This record gives sequence, C-alpha cells and structure tokens, in this order.
Amino acid sequence: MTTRKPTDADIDVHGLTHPGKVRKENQDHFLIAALSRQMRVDRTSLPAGLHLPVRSERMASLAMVADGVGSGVGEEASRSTLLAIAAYVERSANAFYTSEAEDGDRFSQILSDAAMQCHADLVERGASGPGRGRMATTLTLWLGLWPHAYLLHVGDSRCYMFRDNQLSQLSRDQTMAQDLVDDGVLTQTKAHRTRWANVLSSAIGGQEAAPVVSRIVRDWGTVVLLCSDGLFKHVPDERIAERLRTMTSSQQACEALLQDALDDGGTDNVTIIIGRTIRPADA
Amino acid sequence: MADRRKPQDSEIDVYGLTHVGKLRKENQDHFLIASLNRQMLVHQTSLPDDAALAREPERMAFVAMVADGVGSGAGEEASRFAVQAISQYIMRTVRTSYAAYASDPNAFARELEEAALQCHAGVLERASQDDDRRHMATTLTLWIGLWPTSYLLQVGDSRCYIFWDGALTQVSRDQTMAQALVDQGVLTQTRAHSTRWAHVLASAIGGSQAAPVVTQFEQRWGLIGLLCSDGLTKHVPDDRIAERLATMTSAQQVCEALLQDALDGGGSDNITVVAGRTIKRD
Repeated sequence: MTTRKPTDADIDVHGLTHPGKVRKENQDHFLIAALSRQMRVDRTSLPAGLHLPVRSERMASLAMVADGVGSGVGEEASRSTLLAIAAYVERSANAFYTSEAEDGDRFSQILSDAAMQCHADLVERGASGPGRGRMATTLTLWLGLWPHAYLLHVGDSRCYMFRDNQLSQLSRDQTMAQDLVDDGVLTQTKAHRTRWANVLSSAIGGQEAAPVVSRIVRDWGTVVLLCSDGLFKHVPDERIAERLRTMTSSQQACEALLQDALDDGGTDNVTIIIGRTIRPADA
Repeated sequence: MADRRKPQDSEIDVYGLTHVGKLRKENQDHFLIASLNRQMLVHQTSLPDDAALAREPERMAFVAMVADGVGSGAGEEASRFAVQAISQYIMRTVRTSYAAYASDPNAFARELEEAALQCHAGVLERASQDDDRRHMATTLTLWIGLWPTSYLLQVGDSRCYIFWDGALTQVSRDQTMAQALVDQGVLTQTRAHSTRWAHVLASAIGGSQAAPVVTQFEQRWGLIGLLCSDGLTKHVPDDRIAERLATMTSAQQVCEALLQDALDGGGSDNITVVAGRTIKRD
C-alpha cells in the first residue's frame, strides 16, 4: 500500500463551468485551492539560493461547487458563499493542521458550522435587500486531508467517486423528490420526472439548511467528481463512469462530460470539477 | 483581552547581522529570521473577484536563530547545515498553534529537543565522511514565538537575552566547561571568563555531547529579545548591552551599535546579533 501523501506533482485536478445552451446567466461557481504553509525568510546570513531550504507544503486540498438559485440573485448567492466558506476554512486551518491527531468530529463540526453561518448570512441578505426575494445556493465541498477527505453537502449538486471501476454517488440529493423516494412514496426512476425533482429540501439561504458532512478514506488512483445538476440532468451515471474509466486527464474528462451535457440539451448551467492522484511509476 | 492580541507584521521590528570580526579570516556564524505562514493558494476558480481570495499569508509562528560553527574549515558548514536542517524540521512538524499544545505544554519542548538531536546526528554523519570535517560542530540558539508563548532551544554558548521593564536577563545558560565548573562551585563566575575552560563547549550540535535545553516564557508587547554569538559577549558586558537596548531606536540601529561595540572592544571573533521587539500601533 502506498501510504505516502501525494505531492503537487501527483495531483491532476481541473474545473470548468458553462452557462449551457438555454440560460442567459451562469449562476454556478467553483473553486479549487490548496492550503499550504511555507517558511518566509526575512533576513539571513545563508548564501543566496540557500535562502529557502524549505518549500511550501500542501496541507489540505479544497474543491467546491455552488449552484445559485433565484433569478438575478442566484449568482451572488453562490459567489458569496464560496468566498465566505473559503475564508472560514482558511481561518480554521489550525484545526486541520493538527491532523497528526486527526479529530474527525471536530472537523465535521467546523464544516457544518461554516455552512450554517453562510446560511444565516444569506437569509439575512435576502431579507434586507430591497425588492429581492430569497437567494440561495447549493454547496458541495471536498476537503482533502490525506489519507482522508471530508465532504460537506447542502442541496443537489453532487459528489461522485470512481474507484475499482465503480462509480458511487457519495452525496445524497437534498430534494423533495429524493425525500419522497426515501419515504417510499416515489420510486427512484419516477422521481426524476416529477415536479419535485428540482425542488431543494435543503439549501444555503433556503427555507432550511441541513448540512451533511461525511468522512471518506482516500487511496491512490481514485477519481473524484463534483458537479452541479446541469451535468447529471443530461448525463446518466453509466456515461459518467465510462468517461472516468477512459479519461486521459482531468481536463479532458471535464471537457468531454461538458460536451455530453451540451449535446443532450444543456438546459442548465454546467459545472464540473475532477481530481485524481496519479501513482508515480510504481516503485 | 485586547492586550493579548497577536502582533501584526507591521508591529514586529526585527533585524539581524553577522560580521567576521577583526582577526578571523572566515565567518563561521549563521543566523536566520523567518516566519512560518499559512496561505490559501487558488488553483482555479470561476469567481470573478480573485482579489477577495488573495489574502496575505498569515504568520503562524516567528522563528529566529543563531549558530556559531566550530572547527577550522568546516565550522561554517556545520552552522549552515544546522540552520537549514532545523528550519526544515520546524516547517514539517510545528503545529503552528498555541492551542495545539495547550493539552500538553511539554509536547512542543520535546519536539524541539528531538529536532536538535536529529540535527546533531546529521552533523555527526557529515563529520564522519572525511577527515577535514571531523571536528565540525556548532552552537544553536533558536527562538520560536507562538504568541503568546515563546520557546528557546539552547545548545552551546551563543546567548539569548530578554530586556523587559528596564532589566536585562540572560535566558540561555552557557553550555561551557567553565559554566559547569561554576555550577559545581569549583570556579567563581568572575574567574570563569579568564580560564581556558571559558570557551570549551560542554554541549554542541556535532560535538562529543549535545544536551539541548528548552525553556518557555511568556511573550509580551514591548519585550526585546536578543540572540548573539559569543563574539559579542566576549567584548561587550551585560550592562553595556542593557544600556543599548534601553536606548534603542530600531532593531537595526541596536544591532549595528552592538556590533560596533564588539569591534571597538577588539573583534577577536565572528559577531552575530539578532534583535527583535513588538511595537503596538493602535
């Protein structure tokens, strides 16, 4: 088993967003970032070139997709949420850096608190803005702290993992339709076609926000995909699995999946992030 | 308490310098002043306002160190290696948060001692590689500020002083044979300076023994810290150092003034001085 932590060179990650073929505005946003620490030398007697014996080190990887809801204000909702969450995660980074003694419950609490704080901010802004209705957004966040990852999920964007040739959906859609399926009222197949399919039962800034955090064990070679519903409305799981099975790079797979969604109609904004670790020529 | 707030970069006045002295041909001292930062690096985003994400890196820990190499020819290599190796160790292991050590205050002290011993082993290994390097060793005096606590790691006879409330205190204990004899009541402090044991290290990184000592003290606004090699203290007595710190106008000014004092006193050895203080600006 390769237990070594991936370095920047081992990580292949790409993201893109597209308004689709029908909508005028793109209300989706995404962000891919790394939390790093570095030594900054103020002054030293060491000869030039030896000044920085210590390079910047990746401590955590962060990827987020947010799909804004609300005409006119949806984009603002997804944008401000990503900015606020990024700042929150950065401020809480101390907790993540102590990962020698990783405290999963504490990390989960931090991520959940971040989502609830954003929710409160958006509800307040929606209420105070003149002539503005409710502004809301989905949020699917991946925080990689090798060898684990934390998934924070609110709404109906999705996180998939492709491992051992199997695609699994890690996030549960927080929609009225899914709630009805879980209650046994609807079948999964029929759920897509009901008018409840795209009604969120939980959203940042919505009637209710019910963030769910899950902890995942990472391994080399797994592929992770985050996307907004603009992708899976048009591209079924089998097609996604096939694209990930045959991918040559994260960028190539993102572009191929985007094209699949557009070819099928592109009725909504499409956002895709794909990331994987590439095991170096096995030693 | 507002008073416990962490100083910002603009509130830290720190400076360091090193000088070969007037007699030696080579400068075997090294110093390093650095900060350990964390930063969010954006790889890719749809957000139009990158500026909102491009925050300055935040300082998690402040680091300053002085190393005085020993051994003709290879002393400089020993001090350089020690400064680099200990920097790498800190970078990898320091948990950059006081809270991370709150549950076990001794954990950090143990980590620093371990870092010094690894460094010691590294120098010994290099020394074993060829005869020219056989006697190489170095002192190491390292200050790490994890506001509001500072930690000092000491090996050898470089020194750390703090100046607070008008009083100068030597925080480090000289790890010399002379000091050991004083501690055992064999020598008086006054006579110790002039014996042949005065500059024989009882403990050094790469020496026959390395006995790292870590002390912990509270950091305060306005406190001045001074690190130096023995090239300063051989020529400049404590009361002169206190006077310079009491009247300092900047870290750079006081480093330069103390260097000049040491040179005027003879400059018989390499001289390294690092001075730092916090200045509250509200």
